[in-house]
Amino acid sequence: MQTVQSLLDGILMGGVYALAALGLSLIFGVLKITNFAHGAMMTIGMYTVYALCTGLGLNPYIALPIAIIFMFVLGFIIQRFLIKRIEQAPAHNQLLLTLGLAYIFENVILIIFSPNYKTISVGGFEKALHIGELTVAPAKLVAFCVVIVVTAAVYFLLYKTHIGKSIRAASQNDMGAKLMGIDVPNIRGIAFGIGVVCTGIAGGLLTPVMSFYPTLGESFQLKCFVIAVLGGMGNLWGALVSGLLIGVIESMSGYLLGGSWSDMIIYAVFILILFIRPTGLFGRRNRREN
Amino acid sequence: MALLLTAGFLLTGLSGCSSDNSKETIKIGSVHPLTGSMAYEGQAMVNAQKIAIDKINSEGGINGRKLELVVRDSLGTSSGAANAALKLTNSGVVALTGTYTSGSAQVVSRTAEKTGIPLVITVASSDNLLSNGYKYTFRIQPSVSVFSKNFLQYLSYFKTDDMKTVAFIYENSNYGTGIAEYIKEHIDETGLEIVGMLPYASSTSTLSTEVTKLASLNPDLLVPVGYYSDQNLLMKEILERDIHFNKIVGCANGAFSDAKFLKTYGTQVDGILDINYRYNPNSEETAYMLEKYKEVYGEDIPVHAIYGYESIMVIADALKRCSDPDDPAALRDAIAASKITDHVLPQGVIEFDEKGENINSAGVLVEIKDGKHVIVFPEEYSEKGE
Repeated sequence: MQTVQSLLDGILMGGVYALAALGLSLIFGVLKITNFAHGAMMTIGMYTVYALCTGLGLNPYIALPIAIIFMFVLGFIIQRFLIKRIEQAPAHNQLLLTLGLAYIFENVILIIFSPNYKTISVGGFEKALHIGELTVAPAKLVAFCVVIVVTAAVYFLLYKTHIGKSIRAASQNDMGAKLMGIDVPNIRGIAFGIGVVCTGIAGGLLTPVMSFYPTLGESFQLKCFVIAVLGGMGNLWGALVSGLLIGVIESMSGYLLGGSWSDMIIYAVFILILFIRPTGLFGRRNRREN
Repeated sequence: MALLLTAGFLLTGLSGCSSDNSKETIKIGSVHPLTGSMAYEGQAMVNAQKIAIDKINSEGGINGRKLELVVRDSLGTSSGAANAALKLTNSGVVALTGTYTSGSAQVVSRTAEKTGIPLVITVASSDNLLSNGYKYTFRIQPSVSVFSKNFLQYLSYFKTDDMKTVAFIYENSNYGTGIAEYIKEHIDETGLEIVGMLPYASSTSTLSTEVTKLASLNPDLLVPVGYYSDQNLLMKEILERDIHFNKIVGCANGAFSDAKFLKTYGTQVDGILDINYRYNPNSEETAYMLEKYKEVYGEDIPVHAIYGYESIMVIADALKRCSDPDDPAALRDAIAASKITDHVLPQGVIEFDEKGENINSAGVLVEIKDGKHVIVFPEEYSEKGE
């Protein structure tokens, strides 16, 4: 039963990792940019929800939709005014810009909210649900459900709508998309915005789960990166499955070997999989569109 | 214009070198993490130091000269701390204070030794910090082994006859492992049997698995050791799942003795004990420090910050006794000869051994009663509950 409990805990936490990584994967897929400010943007999501909760007395789940709008606008603006300028730049310049942004975000949060640990408690969520011998924290269960809904929504948006078609077109062939009359600059902004929203939601969903502080995103940044690469950069379902996988590996290795082992096992599995499949678990064979 | 400015700088520079510097402030350097994951703790430490500085200055300073705190961010890293310490020693401080983490303390103590400017460690608990034979480093806080020894000494207070098994859940760096391993080594003296040792990385985002394991081990005594955010995670999971442990006793726990912890959980965490640093409730100066901190910063002083306050008091006391307050070597000797009876710590006289260790340093046993922290042991510092 303990094994099942650990498995369940891993899946629930993995869902949240997956959503954060989904944003990173999407941004890379469309813009070919590795966003090193992704973890910091997750923290922004957390603090936006926190600000709405404490400022307006909202429930975090009601604050979340408002935070989504804010995150989208933030992402859109960042892409249009900053990322756009380095799209053709060498990789190290892209790294410097996004990493620089991460530091700016972290420190702005530090100045506004102080370095204090923050927690949010949701009324009625203090006690876990008991299902037979298993226990589930309500906040984690809600988070998992939201993750599934959001992932499905992003999939729908990308594959069933006109905007989605435009995003995919712009990611496959910039010039071709322009010639077809697609407003490529704005489409890229929208894609980046969606990516930021994903990580922002993941952050917001974690606010009732754990205490947070300005530099918390750093520990998620690397995990997101591992998940996105494992799932195949740009592959949405790959990110979801890899996220769950990482969550389960983390939880099960903690259960079987002890918490100190979790990170090591995650990276060992990561390296092993990359040896066998360099494009990730779900990445397409090495083939570059040109 | 530029010439005038240069001349101006030269003049001020010259006046600094002249022998009559009685008008100048005496600078004390402070190296603490002000950004990064330990920024909250670092800032609190500096805040408490400022209160001590203001107190000394309002009482006339050191023979009429005011104290000034020069603060540098250690970024929470060893390299950041080394940089900060170097800049401070170049800016004319007579003493250094810091650093909250043991890694940083190690590099700053090396700087202190090299430059001959004494370092008073506020908080840094690693045991081997003072084992280098350095002459310029002093530590007022209890080390890891002091806390662990205290745990064994205070056991009689909370150990009942039917308490047979114990499990440890601790963060896996020097601090958590150090405490857990020390107690494990001496477990025979306690009559307890260890049923679980659960280390975890403090950066973890979940402790579900560990809590599941603890629930099945169901030890009579649970000993958690860790920093604020991870220990908060632990308590949240325990409360959420309604798991009841017979007794929970933290050792130098970063969350249990923190005021925020009580704000979050209120009376739900009643009965939890923690061996930790704390103020001396019988001292008048403590009352002043508590009140002033709350007045200026709007919250209760975090326990570790008390050592920030006392570090300034130790230096000020030495400055008053020392032959030349501008000579760091003389100041070093004065600190080494400290015998401070009136202070805010729950211990006897503050005096240092030849290693620079505060001889009588000790933690106290704090219990959460009605959602408040109350010192329950040793008896001379026990509070009745406010």
